[in-house]
Amino acid sequence: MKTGFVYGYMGKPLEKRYSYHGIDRKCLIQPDPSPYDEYPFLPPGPFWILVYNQLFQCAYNYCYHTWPMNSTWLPSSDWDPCTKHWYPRTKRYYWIWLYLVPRYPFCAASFSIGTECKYSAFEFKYVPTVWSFINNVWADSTLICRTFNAGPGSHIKIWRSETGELPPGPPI
Amino acid sequence: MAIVKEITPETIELLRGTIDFYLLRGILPVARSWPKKPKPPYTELQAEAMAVFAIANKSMHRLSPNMLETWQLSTVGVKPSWTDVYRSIIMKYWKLKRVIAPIALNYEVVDAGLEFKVVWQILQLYIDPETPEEIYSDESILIVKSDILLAPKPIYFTLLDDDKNRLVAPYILFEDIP
Repeated sequence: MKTGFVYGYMGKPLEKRYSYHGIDRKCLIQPDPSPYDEYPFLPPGPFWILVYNQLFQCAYNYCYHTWPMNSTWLPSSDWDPCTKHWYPRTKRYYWIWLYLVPRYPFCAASFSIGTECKYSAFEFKYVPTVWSFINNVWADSTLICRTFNAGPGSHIKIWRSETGELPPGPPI
Repeated sequence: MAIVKEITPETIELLRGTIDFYLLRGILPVARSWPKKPKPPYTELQAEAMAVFAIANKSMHRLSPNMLETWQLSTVGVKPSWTDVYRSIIMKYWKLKRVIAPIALNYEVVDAGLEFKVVWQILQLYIDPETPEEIYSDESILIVKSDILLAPKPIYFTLLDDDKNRLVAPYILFEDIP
């Protein structure tokens, strides 16, 4: 919704003429011009809510970061085209921020990418790297992210939507 | 409906219950088939339209005194009354989107220094009686005063959806904020 500003004499009636069974009649109506300026609503929510925040490390092994079961998982109204899907069949958006520090010589990360109906391939990194993006959870499992060989100082944060609908901006 | 040129009172009586004769707008004699009140079972669409009309009528009593006065002022001098306009917005919106249009119960123009914003209190009703109504407050983004002050006057504001369809709010005269 938005607030629309209209230029015109809304208090000055317009005369509208019409034919009614062959008789020409007149009627006074209010003008109805279209808005010349529109201001959308604030806040532009929904907002992101932090549901997972963890410092972690995993020596020469995988770390699994799943959707926290104690967090309300609200569906959006956007249809999920994947064969594997949640019920109701709509997307569950998440925002992830991952700072991964490699344990010598490298580390790797993979994410649940609902837009492609799969987990992404492992991305190998040899220097500390940050990922920060939005996607929706693929319904294969509640796993959001897998990391491999994460060194000390690695940090992950996951946000969910306040209402389930896609928030317009990044987490604050 | 047909225009009638010559008719006798006997014929009118004879056709009572079948054909209805009357003066259209008090001046034009016309005939139409005898009106019948629609009876159940209504079609699904008829029933829904009736429900929407009833919701529109009931919701008028929820308006704040401020909004009610604005509605009444907004239709001074025009033929349709404010209640006609109010109902027609809801019915047209339902015809377009098959939902009840959000209804502005109240509004406030808030001055924030060099900017201002419009805060609306909105009532969202649903056709399904099982779905609870929602009342919430929403506000426009901050509007730079100088932009509006430069615009030609008079200016009115109202509530629109994202497709620029008018929602249930009157045209409210925007008075300059010094």
